[in-house]
Amino acid sequence: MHEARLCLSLIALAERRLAAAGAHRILALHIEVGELCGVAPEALAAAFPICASGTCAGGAELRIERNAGRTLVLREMEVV
Amino acid sequence: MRLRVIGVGSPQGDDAVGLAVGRRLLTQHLPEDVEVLLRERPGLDLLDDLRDADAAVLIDALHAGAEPGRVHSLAARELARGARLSSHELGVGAALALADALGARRPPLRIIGIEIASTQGSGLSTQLEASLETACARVRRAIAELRVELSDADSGAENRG
Repeated sequence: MHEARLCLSLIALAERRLAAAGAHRILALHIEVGELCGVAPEALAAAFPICASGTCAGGAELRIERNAGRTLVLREMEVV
Repeated sequence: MRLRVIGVGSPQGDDAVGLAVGRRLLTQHLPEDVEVLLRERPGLDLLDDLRDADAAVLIDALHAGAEPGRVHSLAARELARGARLSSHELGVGAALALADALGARRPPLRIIGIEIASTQGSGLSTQLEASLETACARVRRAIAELRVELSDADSGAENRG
């Protein structure tokens, strides 16, 4: 359930950025997941729609890119 | 056997009904293997409470369009199909859906949902106060059903062995 908690944190972070940008809805989130950060991208992808439902990110697309690093980074957001 | 009864809610108005039912059950006689927990907006922590239980009954507020105070008994899959629990940050339905999506273990469950009127103010509406005892009776019935389900599952395993 580690990935579910990460998803909730990710959405909370995205919502703060959304508010800071003066926008209302998140259409897509682009994240980078390091191979060494201990996160299963498939589990993130499975958890995301459920965690996002009912939030500003409800229905948003999650784009996951792998890299060789140790971190998970919220790279970009598409908002309206 | 470890049977867990978990009253879920938030302090706002009728949204506290799951907690109120749990509190009432704590004052009543229950079998020794039944443990009652009260959880305010548990989110994903709910799954920690389920992990080491053999079976569980969850009690929560529900908006299903019936009259306030109506007590519903639901299977976990009915929640997943879209009956909506009240707007906790991450509701019971979402937590269970996440457990299933991520392959986390969860025991056989029953959900007792109480139709609520208002999530404003403090204290329960009168219709909900009147339904607390019905909800407690439904919890007891759900416990009995889960025992049967578990003993059936056990004997099935023995037959296979």
